[in-house]
Amino acid sequence: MTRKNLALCLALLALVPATLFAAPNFPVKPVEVIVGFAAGGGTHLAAELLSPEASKFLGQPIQVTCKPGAGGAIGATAVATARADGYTLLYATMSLPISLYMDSVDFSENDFVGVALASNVAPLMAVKADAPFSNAKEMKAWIAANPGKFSWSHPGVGSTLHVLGANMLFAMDVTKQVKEVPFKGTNEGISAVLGGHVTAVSSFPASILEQVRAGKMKIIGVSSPVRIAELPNAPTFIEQGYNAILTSTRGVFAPKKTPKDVLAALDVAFGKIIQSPDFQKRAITLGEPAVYADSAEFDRMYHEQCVMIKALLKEIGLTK
Amino acid sequence: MDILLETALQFVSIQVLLGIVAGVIAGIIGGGLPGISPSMTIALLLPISLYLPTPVAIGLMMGAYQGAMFGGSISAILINTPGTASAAATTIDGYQMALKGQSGKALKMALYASCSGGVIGTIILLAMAKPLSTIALKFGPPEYFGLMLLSLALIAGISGKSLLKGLASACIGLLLATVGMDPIYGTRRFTFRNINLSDGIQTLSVFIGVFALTELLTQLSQGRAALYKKADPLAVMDNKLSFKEYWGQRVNIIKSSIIGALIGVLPGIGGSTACFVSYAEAQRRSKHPEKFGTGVLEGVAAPEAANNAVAGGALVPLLTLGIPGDVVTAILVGALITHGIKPGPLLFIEDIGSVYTVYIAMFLAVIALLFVGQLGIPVFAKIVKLRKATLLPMILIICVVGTYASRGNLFDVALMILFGAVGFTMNKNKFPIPPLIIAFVIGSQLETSLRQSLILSDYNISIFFTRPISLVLMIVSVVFCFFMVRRNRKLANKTTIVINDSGEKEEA
Repeated sequence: MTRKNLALCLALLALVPATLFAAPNFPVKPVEVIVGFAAGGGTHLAAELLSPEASKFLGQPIQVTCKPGAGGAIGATAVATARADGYTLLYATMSLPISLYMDSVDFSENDFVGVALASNVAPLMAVKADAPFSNAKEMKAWIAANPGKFSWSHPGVGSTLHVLGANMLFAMDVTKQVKEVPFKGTNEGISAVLGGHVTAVSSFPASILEQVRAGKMKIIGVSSPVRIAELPNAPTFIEQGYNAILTSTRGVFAPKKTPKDVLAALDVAFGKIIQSPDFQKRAITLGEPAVYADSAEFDRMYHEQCVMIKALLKEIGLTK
Repeated sequence: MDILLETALQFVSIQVLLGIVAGVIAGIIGGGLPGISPSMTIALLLPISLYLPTPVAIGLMMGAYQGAMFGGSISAILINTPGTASAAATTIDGYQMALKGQSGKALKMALYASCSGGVIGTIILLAMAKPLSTIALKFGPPEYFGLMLLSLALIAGISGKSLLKGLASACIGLLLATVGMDPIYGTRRFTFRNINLSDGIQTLSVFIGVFALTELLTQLSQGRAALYKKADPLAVMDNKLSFKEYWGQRVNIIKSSIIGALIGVLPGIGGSTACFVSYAEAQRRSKHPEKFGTGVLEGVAAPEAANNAVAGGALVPLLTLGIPGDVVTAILVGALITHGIKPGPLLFIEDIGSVYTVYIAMFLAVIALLFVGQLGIPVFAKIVKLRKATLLPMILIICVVGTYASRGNLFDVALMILFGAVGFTMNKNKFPIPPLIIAFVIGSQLETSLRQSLILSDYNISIFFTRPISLVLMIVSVVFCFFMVRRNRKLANKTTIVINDSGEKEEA
């Protein structure tokens, strides 16, 4: 309750400056940002990062709503079919382009337009600390020497970490020799690796940082063009000679038919929110690197990603 | 010791205590409302907690966690709707007690069992966190499968008079659990190309449908006279819980709490499994197992002690390994991280103060729950005094809103209504509902761990018999099943008499 009141007060305070830069008639009511994943999960928390500064820069509070299910597709459907007036937005991960091709969904690539890139996380492949190999090359050799012994986990078919993990193994050319064991979530997968039940886990850095720091797990490689700040000692796949550089982007989308001036207002407002020092600070505490791309660029990235993922899924054998 | 004292002193502040009490109240409300799960309650509190000082925030969360675990029993007892998935087992005897006019007694039992469970869970967390986490890691897919199989074997115990009908009911539950995404290949099964079914049938739609809506329909079918009748005055006499009655449950409560805490330690297994296991265990060692399901205290005490103890258990892997034990603790991770506490293997070494903060907050939350619950119970218990013509429409609204609220999806409401009809039909034809619920709840984990194990063993079933823990679980399941079936057969002849002299509904 207090938070609502506070948000309301902030909204009132911010009303005057907001009208100076936003389109004069947008927004006049709170903007709903739909997350296609469960409340309290990583994507929801990342979306919540946007809300504290919303009133200041957008002129209206943001209300984050979780519509979980079908790997984000239920939330995406809700936005694709919502009125394109800028009051219903989508906070989506790479599962948006993945669901377009791995799944029969009721929306298409062109139902959405990118508003702002808010996060970009590099996935990695990690194993138990006492595994008999420590880098990608050794791992490949071990897999070849021990057929049928290597298993890896991901949090569900069609999840971002599934596709990205499969991509890492594809780059190492071991796809045919490994067993894939889906778990309900990354944490179950990590626990299975720690218990020695599966060999490796495809994960984001945040879930694994403490395990690495405690010396319980080690990282085989990071799928990213360059080494990441949180794990400066972990080598990337590309520097080990395997071409896996795909990272997971997250950001805000609007329905395609959203009017130009509304989209422009959202573009400006989200730019200010994401680039504000407070946002960046909170993002880093949560383990989200602070990145930003504006509407035009993020939209271009999104369409590029769609093409790439479509080809990738076919190549690594996840779609026909 | 110094750190413990220092941490404890942080809690001697009105803000922290208010935070805990506020958390407990929010938890009881959230837990009591079907559709608002404990995890959602905590997710709703999360944004607020980010702006609070660390001990206040942790107090708020722990309060909500413990509060929600008890809160679920309120609607389970009063309106036959488990407010949380963990309270599903409480519904079986709790609501029967309420029908006898013992709603106050049932609620008191639930509260004391919850608090006792909370304390025992905290003690287990405090004393055995490290060794337990080592054991938890030993549980791979085959061990999970064994545990799920054991839970499935319990169905024999709660099948009521006809084992055959119980098994049929369980099969329906297992079939329902197969709807949705295949856990290994990701293929959509039985979804009829409906995206709303791709994650399977929502637990809440089934729970509210077969428990609450079924009960509504059953009551409606009793005719107009029953609806306008004033609440039964005759039964009010035995509505107080004496200390002797509570003390009589001590072994049951301790045992159930230990079961709850141990199952809570395993990542990914929810409180509802723990509750059904402890319910079945209470029934197994009871002197009058045939009375279970007709409104006995043991049937309320066991699951309620277990689900609050689950909270302590679920924190074990979180604090020692950095792996959350359930959905609620998964959300707690986010809260802890934003407060600069990094759950992981090093937490005990580098930041023992934070570990103590969590322990103490949890302990105080249990005490706060005791007081808040005491004050609340007389208020909640008034609900049953309402005339049915007023109460039933209100319950219907709660059912619809609650089902909608959990995912914001009308499709789930339609399904809930469908399951109401299914439950009603089953009820009329004397098919027991609890086996369906257990089978539905554990079905997907059972399948997932079976298939995970088989992938790991290259489809060789020997994996279940060559690993010690898994082997023991397999043997226990078979033995358990055998004894349950044998007892069930003996009881089948005896039960008729029991029901006649208790003078309850014709079929309990």
